[in-house]
Amino acid sequence: MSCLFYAIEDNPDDVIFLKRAFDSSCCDLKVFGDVQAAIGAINDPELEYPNVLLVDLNLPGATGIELIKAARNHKRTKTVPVVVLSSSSYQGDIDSAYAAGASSYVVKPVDYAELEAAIKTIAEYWGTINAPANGDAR
Amino acid sequence: MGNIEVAITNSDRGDDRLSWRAPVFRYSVAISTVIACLVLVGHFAGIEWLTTLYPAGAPTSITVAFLVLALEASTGLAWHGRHRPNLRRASFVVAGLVVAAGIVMFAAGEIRDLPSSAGIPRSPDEIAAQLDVAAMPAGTSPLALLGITALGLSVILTSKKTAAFAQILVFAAAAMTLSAAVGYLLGSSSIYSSMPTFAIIGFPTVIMFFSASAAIIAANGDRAVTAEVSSGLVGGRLARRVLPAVLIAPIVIGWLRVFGQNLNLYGTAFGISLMVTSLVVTLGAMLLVGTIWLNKVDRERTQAEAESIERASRIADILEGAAEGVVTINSNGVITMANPRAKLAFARDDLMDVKIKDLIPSGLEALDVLDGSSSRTGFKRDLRMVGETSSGRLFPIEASLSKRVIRGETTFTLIFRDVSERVRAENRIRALNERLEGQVRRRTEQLNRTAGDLEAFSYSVSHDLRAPLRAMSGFARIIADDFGGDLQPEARHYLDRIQANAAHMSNLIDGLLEFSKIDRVAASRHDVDLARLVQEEIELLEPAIDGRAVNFEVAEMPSCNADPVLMRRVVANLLSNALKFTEGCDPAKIAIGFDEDLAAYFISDNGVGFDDQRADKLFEVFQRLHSRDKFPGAGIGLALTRRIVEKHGGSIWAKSQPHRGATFYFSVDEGKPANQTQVARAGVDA
Repeated sequence: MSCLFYAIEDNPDDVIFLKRAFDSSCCDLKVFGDVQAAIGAINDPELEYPNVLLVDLNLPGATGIELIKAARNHKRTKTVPVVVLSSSSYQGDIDSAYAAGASSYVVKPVDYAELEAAIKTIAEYWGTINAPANGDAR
Repeated sequence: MGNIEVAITNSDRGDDRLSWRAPVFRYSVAISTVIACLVLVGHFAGIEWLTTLYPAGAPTSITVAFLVLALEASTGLAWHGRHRPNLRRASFVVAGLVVAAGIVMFAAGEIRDLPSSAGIPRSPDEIAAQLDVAAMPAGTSPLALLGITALGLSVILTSKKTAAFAQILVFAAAAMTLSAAVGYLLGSSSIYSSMPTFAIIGFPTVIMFFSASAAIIAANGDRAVTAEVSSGLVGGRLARRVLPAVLIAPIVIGWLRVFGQNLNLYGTAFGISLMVTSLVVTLGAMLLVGTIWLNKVDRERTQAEAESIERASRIADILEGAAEGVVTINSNGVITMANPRAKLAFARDDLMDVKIKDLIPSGLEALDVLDGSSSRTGFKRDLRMVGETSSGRLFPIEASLSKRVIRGETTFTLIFRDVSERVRAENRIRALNERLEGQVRRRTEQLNRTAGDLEAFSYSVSHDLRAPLRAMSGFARIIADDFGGDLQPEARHYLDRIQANAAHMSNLIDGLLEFSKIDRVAASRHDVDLARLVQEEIELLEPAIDGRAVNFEVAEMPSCNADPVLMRRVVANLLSNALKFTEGCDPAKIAIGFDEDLAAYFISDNGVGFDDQRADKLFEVFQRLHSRDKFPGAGIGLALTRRIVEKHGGSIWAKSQPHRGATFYFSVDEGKPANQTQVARAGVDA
């Protein structure tokens, strides 16, 4: 079973980097430009449920923190791991992300090579190594 | 003030005169008691001369001696009974007995038979008979009984109200005795020749009566006539000067007259005229002396009065022109004097007889306190009161208050100043201060806000700048990875340059971010072992040394009280700096130690050094003295180091010459904030 990531990322450059990194992994990636689009997709029963949410914090409109809270309150994503991938290393952001229910927080490395490696590691860890909760429990 | 002192001294002088009374009383009582006892011994033992004590004098009777003893007892009781009513009552009883005995005996005829002629003996026989002591009429002299009755009465009358009567009685008794006394003084041979028999009293009686009189006078000498005589006033002083002369002069003159007559120098008529003339001359001379003396006293007094008036007018002038209000207040709280300034302050034409509480509605507690104290003087200052003008306007007062009791009269002097202006000024200053504080508060808020803004700014700059930077380097990398094979070498080189520049810019952003963070970090203070810290940092430099030949010399150095994390940064920056600028030196020498003279730590190297002239540039952000190609770096390290050192109240400076190495000094002021001189020193020494 291949793992499906929902990524919420507004920066088109980073979207390209995300996709490039996921290309060489075994996981699938679906990218949304803002929080509303992501929540719409989660609510849509036609669509496949995400196995992992990959969230940027600085988003147009509603923030990544709000998305985390929404996902935690949504019965279909209540136990889905939420990984924050943000350029912010500010402790306040990190703390509020965990407080909202994030499972992991990764600061986007400045260097592209490091960023690529980080995304690949996330995909590998959360997509294959990490054992997800039972879907029926959702 | 001088006046008042004089007044007090004068009034006190009267009391000092009392000191004569105790000895006079004691000696007088002793003399009369001893004589009375002698007389009694004389009578009972049959020693005749003890009853007369004067050759061929009349004897003193047993009755008189007893009565005198009783009189002395009553006088003694009166003296000691001045403050003890019981003794005083006993004194009255004894004196009353003396008086009663005198009267009874007088009435019972227990007295010497009066001669039928009741006059002066005329014939030689009569004289001879009178001179014969043995033939003296028996019994007690009526004059003596009269005298002792008068003295007894005077003891009874020894009270404040009747003192004058008592003293008059005493003087009368003394005067009665005086004739006999004078007789004895002028010579016994002529006593009886010129005296009516009823007037004849014994010599002991004379002395006893004088002593008894003196004792009674002493006992109530602070009253009536004797009080006047013993007073410090002019009359008393004059009386005391003249009295001895008045008593002695006539007696001396009389004696001279009799003496001359006995020598047959002149007859009776001429003798009398001589005596009268002498008396007139003597009394006239005394009067003259008294007059001159009185005039002198009067002139002195007039002078003193003039001086006191002058002094008073000077004081009045001072009061008139004083910038302070001055009022005097009596014990009823009523104003008795006010200077113009006081009237002006209360906006009233006249303050006389005004109650002070009507003028000063609050703050007069000090007045009550002084009034309540038993002390004769008192002073309180720096009193705050509130005054009220006639129009009802209230104004603040600062005052001093003094109290003085003169002759039983209490006077308060209030010296005050209307401090409205000062209070207004103080209020203005306070208002100004509050406004300034408000301004400071607002500015501080602004500053805090600005600092917050700046933080947000540097935060967003660092992160927002990074994203495009990452994109640029990322895409350059992707092009190189994905399409590298199709590219010319030159194109690949340019892609490398893009990535290198992106990396450098990333370093710059990191440095800026770090630099802006330093100010916001609160420096803690701990004991930092700098030598160990240096050792640890040198070990961490191992990868950077990269096999180069580098000699580190770490000398002993004192520990310092600083933030360990920040100090580690300082050491790391300076060490890596030294390492960087000794590149190419073989071997590189880096020494770390403490300079006692400069009280500063130092890190010296034998590297390329720099031009001292431009040393101040070293510590500024992005300033560099060497090209980045030769010595890479963001240009943040030393600026950051200076920030940290200054944050610890210390300073940092450097000395160098091109190609001869450089030495960086830094000091840490333990527990003190940075100050201007130290910051300036960085500029001067560098």
